[in-house]
Amino acid sequence: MRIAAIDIGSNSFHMVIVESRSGGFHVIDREKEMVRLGERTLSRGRLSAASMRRGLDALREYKRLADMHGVDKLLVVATSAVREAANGEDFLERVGGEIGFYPQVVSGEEEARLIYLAALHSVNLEGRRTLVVDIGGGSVELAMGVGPQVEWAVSEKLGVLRMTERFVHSDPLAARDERRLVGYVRQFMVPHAARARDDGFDLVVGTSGTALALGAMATAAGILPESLHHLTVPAAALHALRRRLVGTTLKGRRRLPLMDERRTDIIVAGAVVLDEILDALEAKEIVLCEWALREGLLLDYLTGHKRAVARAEAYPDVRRRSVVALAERCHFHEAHARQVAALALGLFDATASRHGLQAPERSLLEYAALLHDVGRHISYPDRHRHTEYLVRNGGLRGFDPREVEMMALVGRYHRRGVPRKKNLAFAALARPDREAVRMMAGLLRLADALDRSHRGVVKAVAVSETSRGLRLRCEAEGDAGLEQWASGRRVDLLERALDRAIQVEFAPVPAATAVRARAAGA
Amino acid sequence: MPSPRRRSLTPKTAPPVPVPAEAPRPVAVIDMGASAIRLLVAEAAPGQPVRILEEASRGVLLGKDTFTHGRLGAATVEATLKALEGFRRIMDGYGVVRYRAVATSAVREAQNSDAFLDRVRLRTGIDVEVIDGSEENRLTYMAVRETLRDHPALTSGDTLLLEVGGGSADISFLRKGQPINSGTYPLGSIRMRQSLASWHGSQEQGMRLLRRHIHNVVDDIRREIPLREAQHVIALGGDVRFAAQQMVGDRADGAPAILGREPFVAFCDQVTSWDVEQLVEQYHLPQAEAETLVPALVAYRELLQETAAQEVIVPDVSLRAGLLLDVAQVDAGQGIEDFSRQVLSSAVALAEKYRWDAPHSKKVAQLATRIFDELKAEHGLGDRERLLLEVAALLHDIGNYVNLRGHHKHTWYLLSVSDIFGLSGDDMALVANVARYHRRALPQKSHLPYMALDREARVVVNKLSAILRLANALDADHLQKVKDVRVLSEEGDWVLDVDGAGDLTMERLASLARGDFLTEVFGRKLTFRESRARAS
Repeated sequence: MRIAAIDIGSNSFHMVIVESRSGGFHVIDREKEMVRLGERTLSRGRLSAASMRRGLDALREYKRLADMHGVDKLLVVATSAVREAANGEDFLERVGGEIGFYPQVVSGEEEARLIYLAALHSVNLEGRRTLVVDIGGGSVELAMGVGPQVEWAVSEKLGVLRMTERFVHSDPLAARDERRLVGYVRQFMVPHAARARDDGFDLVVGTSGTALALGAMATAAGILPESLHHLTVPAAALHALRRRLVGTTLKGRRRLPLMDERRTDIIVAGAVVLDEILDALEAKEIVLCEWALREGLLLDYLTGHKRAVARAEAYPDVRRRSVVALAERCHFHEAHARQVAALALGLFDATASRHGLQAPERSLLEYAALLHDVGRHISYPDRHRHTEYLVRNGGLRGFDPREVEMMALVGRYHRRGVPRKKNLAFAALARPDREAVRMMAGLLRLADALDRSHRGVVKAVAVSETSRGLRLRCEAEGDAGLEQWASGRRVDLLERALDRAIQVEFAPVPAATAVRARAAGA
Repeated sequence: MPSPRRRSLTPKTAPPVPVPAEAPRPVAVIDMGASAIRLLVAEAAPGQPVRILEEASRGVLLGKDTFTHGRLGAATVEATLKALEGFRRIMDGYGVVRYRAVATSAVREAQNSDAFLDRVRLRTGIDVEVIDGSEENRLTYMAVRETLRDHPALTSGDTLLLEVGGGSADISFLRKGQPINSGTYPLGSIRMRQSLASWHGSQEQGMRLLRRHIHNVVDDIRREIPLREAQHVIALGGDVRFAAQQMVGDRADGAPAILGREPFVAFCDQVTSWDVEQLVEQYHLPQAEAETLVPALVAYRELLQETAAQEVIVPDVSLRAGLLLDVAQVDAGQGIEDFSRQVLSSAVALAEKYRWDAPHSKKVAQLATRIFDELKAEHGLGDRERLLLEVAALLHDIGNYVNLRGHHKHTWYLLSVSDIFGLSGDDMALVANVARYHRRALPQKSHLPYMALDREARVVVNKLSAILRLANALDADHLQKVKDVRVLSEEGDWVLDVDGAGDLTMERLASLARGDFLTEVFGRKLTFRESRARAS
């Protein structure tokens, strides 16, 4: 299953496209763009027209890439810039309208939790109590935990873009500006740091662009590893780097080794924020982590949708996949459902010349048969009506509304009742569809009766024409008493739909030449 | 004369008049069943066991009329009126001021029940309440709990409580005496007998079909109720009482009969090996009873075999006994906590079935009941409505199980077809509506399920769903950042004084947006305030 995760951050947008693989994933493509959606938004409380345009352009491109990679599932989250903007909703509406997906706005705490998850799966934590620090454009997230358990998570509005806009008014940074920035950061961070120290932690992990950029620069003296991931950076080196950055002008910073040009304006505030946090924590070092929110989002999705992901790998056809998903969600009797589907298709084929329905109806009949009993999960009385409701509303994918409606009605009438126009949903169908529903419900009702005991005793059904109507000969293995009793009571609708009397007979399976009912589906 | 407990949200009578608590007061209950009308007069004092003062019974075949003709005939109505006039005199003789009179399926299913009950009220002054299956179950459960008070089946472990009736079987699963799960299943002895009547094979084949059918239903029950975990089985109903009487004789002291698993199974097997004529002859049973005995006993037997119980407990309880306990409890001002506990544990079991987000739903329930309490003077609703709000809050998101899209409507559907122990059909309709309006559209005249409620219930729905919307907004993030909330009145507006941790931006925006309905219903503007100073 191919999944893409998009993080609409205040400073950068990220997209990662992966292929799910037995619980984990394999990265296919990554995109990153410094959109600066939060520029002036964080201080003014509104997304400017220009920010919105930049954001929409970037997302349009991401969508194109996702489509190109044939992504099955797109996960999109937006963080503080959109969360706080008074016109954030407008932006989301435009994304939905112009691009075609609706980002989910996550809270700072949720963000922290997802980032922790990313660190958990990419840094060798070895059961150590870990504090994950994510410095973003709009906010800073802290998450403390041991192993998979997040103990607490907080978010403060201390992101680098925000701090730069608010405090960096001089170049190089004047002592007064720096003092005010430090005072502001400490005001929020000191209580959290105290709590973290009280709880005790063994490890600090830093994620996202700012921490990675600073980490790279702080270790620039040595040979830079291929990847920054899992690199341990001493707090002292970061402190020295901060001093150097604070004392350098914008122009001078551009010439510093490994300086990312797009960050030269915001790196100073970033260095101060990170250094102050480490100082408040009294941490000696920080471990860098390249995974962040988007990977956390993927991991969260994969853990929450294990079955869906496994199913997608098992059933490439979206219709069958979503039918099986609904059936499993409702704990269907799988063996019974498959037997009824096989019998219904057997009856369908054997009476093909009489009912004249074609392949599209045949497949709807099979799906309706697989789903015929899902309603019993809601409650036993009126279970056929619950089936109708679940089929109609259960979010089946790959069907058009007319097909969903037909399956719902076949489910509704599989036990009792005769479809009539006083049922408004039935009346709303076109005439040929109404006839198809009546026929399919008749076939399904009989097929269900032929597995009344849920023991799969009927092995084959043959249909022949007699002077008085149709004769159905069922070959059964073992005691078919219940099937015999039930089929006599459930043949009515099919008789009506075919306008023929139907005689149902039972015989034991002949030793050698049993013609098997065709097995349904997978 | 007021009925002691309001069963529906349409109060028929004024609230009870307070009476000095010490003196024991006579109370009465009347039970109108299918074949008889019975009266119990008893004395209840707080903290004391109930003492029975008088019992009376008149045979009136209400069930025969309803089940064969669909309505109560003139002679039967007249006999009922006579019987109740007599009861009325007995009650007056004891100075009974509090009573509860109930009627079950025989009246419930009669087409002319409204006219009948009106005549009863005019002639005798007795207000008869028609109760549904869930209330019957609850009252029976109360009687069982009283009779088996100290029995391990009700104090520890898991217990199956089952009653195979004529039309269906009622099954409840109790954990440490609290009902967790309950349901009604198509194992009714008369109904099974009737559907087999179309079978023209041998007796032996008929039995096989019957067993197979019961097996299938038991398979389904097993999916909903953890039968195998039950260490005790309590069986109710006429057919199992007959078995107990045959096996261990009459019990004079009213103690429950205890039947060993093996002997009970053996007894059932023996009975089922006979045909109806043999049973009539062997036990001198009327034909009708002999016909239902076999299907019922097979059902008990198969269910017992699914459990881990080593014996079957057959207590001597009746609907009347439960009714009396209920009246005494309400009279003593107890009852609502006990009742709430049962209702809530059953609601939680339903929520688990639909894989709820437990921390979110519990938080919303806590905040909703908190806001309810804060606004007590404004909404004028009572304990029962508070309980219904709590149930709706716990279950408001279960529609997600069907589909995230439009989940509030799916919540309505699921609740409208589900049972919660102790809540009547009317209660469930109300809960379903409250939960449905937790998001999106407000109640409208074009919404049929809403308009199907009576006007008073609609007003309650408006108030409760307005509160629920706000409570849900206060946990917009599903992260339980809001610890508590108070509603302060300032210059005619309401200030939400929110005690929370972390960034409450989303909660603030959501509360102000979804407080719309509260403002509409109560006419007060809302503002949001964080009560905790940041960064101490």
